[in-house]
Amino acid sequence: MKIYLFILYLCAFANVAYSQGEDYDEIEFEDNELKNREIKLNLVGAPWGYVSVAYEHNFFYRNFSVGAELGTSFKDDVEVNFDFSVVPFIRKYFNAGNKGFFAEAIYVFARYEDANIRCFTCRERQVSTVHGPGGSLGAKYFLPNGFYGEFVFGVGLNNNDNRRGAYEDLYTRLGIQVGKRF
Amino acid sequence: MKVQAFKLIGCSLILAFLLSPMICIGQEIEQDPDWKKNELSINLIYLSGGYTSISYERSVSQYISLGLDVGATLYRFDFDINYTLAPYIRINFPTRKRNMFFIELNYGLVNYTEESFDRDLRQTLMIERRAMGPGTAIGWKITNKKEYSLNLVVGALANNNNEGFEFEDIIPRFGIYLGKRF
Repeated sequence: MKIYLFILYLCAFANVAYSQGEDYDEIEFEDNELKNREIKLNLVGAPWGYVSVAYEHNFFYRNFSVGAELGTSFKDDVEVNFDFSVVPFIRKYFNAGNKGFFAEAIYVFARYEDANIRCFTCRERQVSTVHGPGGSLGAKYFLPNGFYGEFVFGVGLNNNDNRRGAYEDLYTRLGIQVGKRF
Repeated sequence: MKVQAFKLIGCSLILAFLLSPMICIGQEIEQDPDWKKNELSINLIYLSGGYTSISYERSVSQYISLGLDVGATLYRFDFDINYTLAPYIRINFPTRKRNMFFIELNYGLVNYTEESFDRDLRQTLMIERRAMGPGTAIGWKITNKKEYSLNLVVGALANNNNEGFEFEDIIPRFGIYLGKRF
C-alpha cells in the first residue's frame, strides 16, 4: 500500500514538474549544458555534525545523471546520524539541461549506532546497518555562474535482515545541497 | 581522534571551497536595477497559537541576503516560548524573474518556559530554558509587482544547549512570511 501511495505521489509530482518547467526555462543562463560534472555538499546534517559530499555526472541527451554521495559523522552522541553512508543514485530530470525538478532512484549503504533496545540497563551501543533501495524527489536551481542549490527528499526500504533501532523498516533521504557544475 | 580531526579538516576545506565563491556572487553577476534591497516580513503560521516573528532581510546582492528573525509570544495560548532570535544568511536562486528558491544557514536561540517538578520542594516550578544552535532551511519567495512578498521557510536547527526537554536535538523552523520589499 505504501509503495502504491509513493508511486502515486511520484506521478503527481511529475505533473507539477512538467507544468512548471516552461517558466523555469525562460531564465537565461550561461551554457551550463556544456559542463557535465558536478560536486556538491549536503548541508542538511551539518548542524548535527554530519557532512556528505556528492559527485554527479550528467548525460544531457536523455536528461539523466548518475552520481554517488559519501557522508560521515563527526559527532558520536547524536541519535539521528549515520556513522557513514554511501548513496549511489540515478536521476531523471524533467527539464532540458538537467535543471529544475527531478526524480531519483537510490540505494543506501549506511551504518549507525544507537542505544541497545533489548537491554535498557546496558550502556553499550549497538551497531546496525541499513541497505536498501529508495526513491526521492527534488529540484535544482542554478545561478548564472554555474553554482546551484537543490533540495531532495525521499524514503527507502531497509532490507537488512538484522534490522533494529532507529531505521527498522524505512530510512529517509533529505538533502539541502549547494554545488558547482564544471 | 586523528581520523576525526583529519575528516573535519578535509570537510572544512571542501566547505570553504564550495561556499567562499558564493559569497562573492554579487560582484560577478549582473544585477536587476529594480531589485529592492530591504524586506520586512511577519510570520503568520503560528499567529493563531499566540506566537509570531518579524523578519528583516537585507540583500547584499540579488543572490545573497542577510537577515534577522525576532519572535515573541503575543498572548499565552498554545506556546511556552518567550522569545526567539535567529540571524541568517540566504543564498537566493531565481526560479522566475521575481521568484526565488533559497537555502538558508542560520543560528537560532529559543527562550521558553518549562514545567519541572522539584522533589525537595514537592511542587511544580516554571523554569526558563534556552535552546540554541546552528541550522539549515530551504524556502521559496514570491514577490509581486507591488513588492509584496510571500516566503515559505522549512528547516531545522540543532540544539547544542542540553537544558530542558522541549527541544532535545532538533528545533524546528517553519514560516509563512508576508512581507514588503522597500
